[in-house]
Amino acid sequence: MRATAYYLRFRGPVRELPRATTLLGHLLWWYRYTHGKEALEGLLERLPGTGFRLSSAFPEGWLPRPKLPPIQVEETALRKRLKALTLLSFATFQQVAERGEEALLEAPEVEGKLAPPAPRRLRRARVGIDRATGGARQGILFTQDLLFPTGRYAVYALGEPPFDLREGLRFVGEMGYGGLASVGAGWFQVEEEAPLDLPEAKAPTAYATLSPGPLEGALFYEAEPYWGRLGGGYVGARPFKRPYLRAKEGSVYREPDGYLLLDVTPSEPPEGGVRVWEALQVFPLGVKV
Amino acid sequence: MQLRKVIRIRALLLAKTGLRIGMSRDQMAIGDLDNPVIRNPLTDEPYIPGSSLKGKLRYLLEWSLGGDYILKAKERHVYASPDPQDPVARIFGLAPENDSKSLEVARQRGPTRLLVRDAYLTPDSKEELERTIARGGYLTEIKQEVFIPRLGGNANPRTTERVPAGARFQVEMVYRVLDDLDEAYFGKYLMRALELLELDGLGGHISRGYGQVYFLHPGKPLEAQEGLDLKERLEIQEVALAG
Repeated sequence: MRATAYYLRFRGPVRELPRATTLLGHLLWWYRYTHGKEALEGLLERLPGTGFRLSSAFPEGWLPRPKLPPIQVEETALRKRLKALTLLSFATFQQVAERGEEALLEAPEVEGKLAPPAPRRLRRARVGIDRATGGARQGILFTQDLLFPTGRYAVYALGEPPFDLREGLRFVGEMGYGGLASVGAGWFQVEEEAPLDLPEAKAPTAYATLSPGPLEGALFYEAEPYWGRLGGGYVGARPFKRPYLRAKEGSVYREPDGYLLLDVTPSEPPEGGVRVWEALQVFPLGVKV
Repeated sequence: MQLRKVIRIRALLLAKTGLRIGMSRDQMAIGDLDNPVIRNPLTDEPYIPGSSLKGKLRYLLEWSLGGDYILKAKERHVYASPDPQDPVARIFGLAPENDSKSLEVARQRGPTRLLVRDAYLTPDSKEELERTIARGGYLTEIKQEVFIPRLGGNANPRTTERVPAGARFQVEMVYRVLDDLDEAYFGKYLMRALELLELDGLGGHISRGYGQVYFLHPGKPLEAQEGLDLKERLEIQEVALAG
């Protein structure tokens, strides 16, 4: 599958690695702030018909393990190693897409010879300052978990982006992705944009997705309950969108073109007349089932 | 509400005296320091969290403005102004209360204008600090302090880790301009907060001499900058946006 890869390098910590739905939300807020509300509404109408797909971020050269029917393994240690695999190198993904999970038995990841870069974790303590004394305020000591990613991460795009995607990603990186952006988290740089052939089966019978997708049409999937927060000007109190179920990255679909603009407006909308949408899309890589 | 431009501020932060931003530890080994500094888990280098820098700027600005910021903060974490034009809430952000009036104010106010990055050691400063390894620290000094009981008895020693004077960190902040008021607040309030930081300090134990900091322009010779106005010692870049 011919895609465009955007390579990101994190310049600081991040709360969570970028996922397609949230990243697209950030990009749409950027579009809203720089082009205006009407332009965003027009873009949202056009978006389902464009064929544009955006993936979550993965370490360069790694993809999520397709959720294919598992193979039966007697040996406990091997079974546990197989179970722990969440990311596959491009070469292993290609083999798994063609031959199913049996290909994993010969994979260097399972033999312990190859592993994706794992972000380091740091629990950072923070304290509220008493404005009257300047000292630490009683009862406001709290900790926050942060990830420090190493190496490059890649976000993939299919089709023609309906806006300047590199410029949008550059802006999101500058402003910070996800939580704690105003205190330095989520800061990344877009190092490179390059066309790339993503691995997939030659004559696919199903499609693994690189972004969270709708449950409709999913064949083998891992469901994820999701209760996202409102973004942009709606950050603050009553912050949550309506909860819903979706399929995680790696889930396998019958058809390649699944797309759902899901209404997740809270029961009390953040503003009169405002609707809140979540774009669930299948970013398809062919696999054989 | 439309984003007109972003203003990027870059500077070197010079620790004029030892700088200490502490970290918490889940566990402690025998022989460990009592008070370690926060370190980047990837490199083990000490750094300044964006939250420490931003929190101190906010605190100093609130103190300089006085009034409700101090008097009404007693019951709350910070003073939540009902005015959408409140400079502190605009620049530093404010989580609104869960009522319709506060939410309306938050919508009028818009997003947090100031983003403050984590500040990491400059490569040349790291090279200089590597001399500290021979004395038992890694890019830091281990300072012994002693508590003296007023009525006699044995001295009570403690060890504190801090980044030595002379260390330099790369600071980067981004300020979002959505309207004319943001433009005015940049010069009037954010610059004031940065000036106050130089007069006050950063991190712990400031009253005992720690944490005096000074901003330096990253593109100018360091030795020629002493005494220059703050604005001349910052690299300020305005980036216009489409729309």
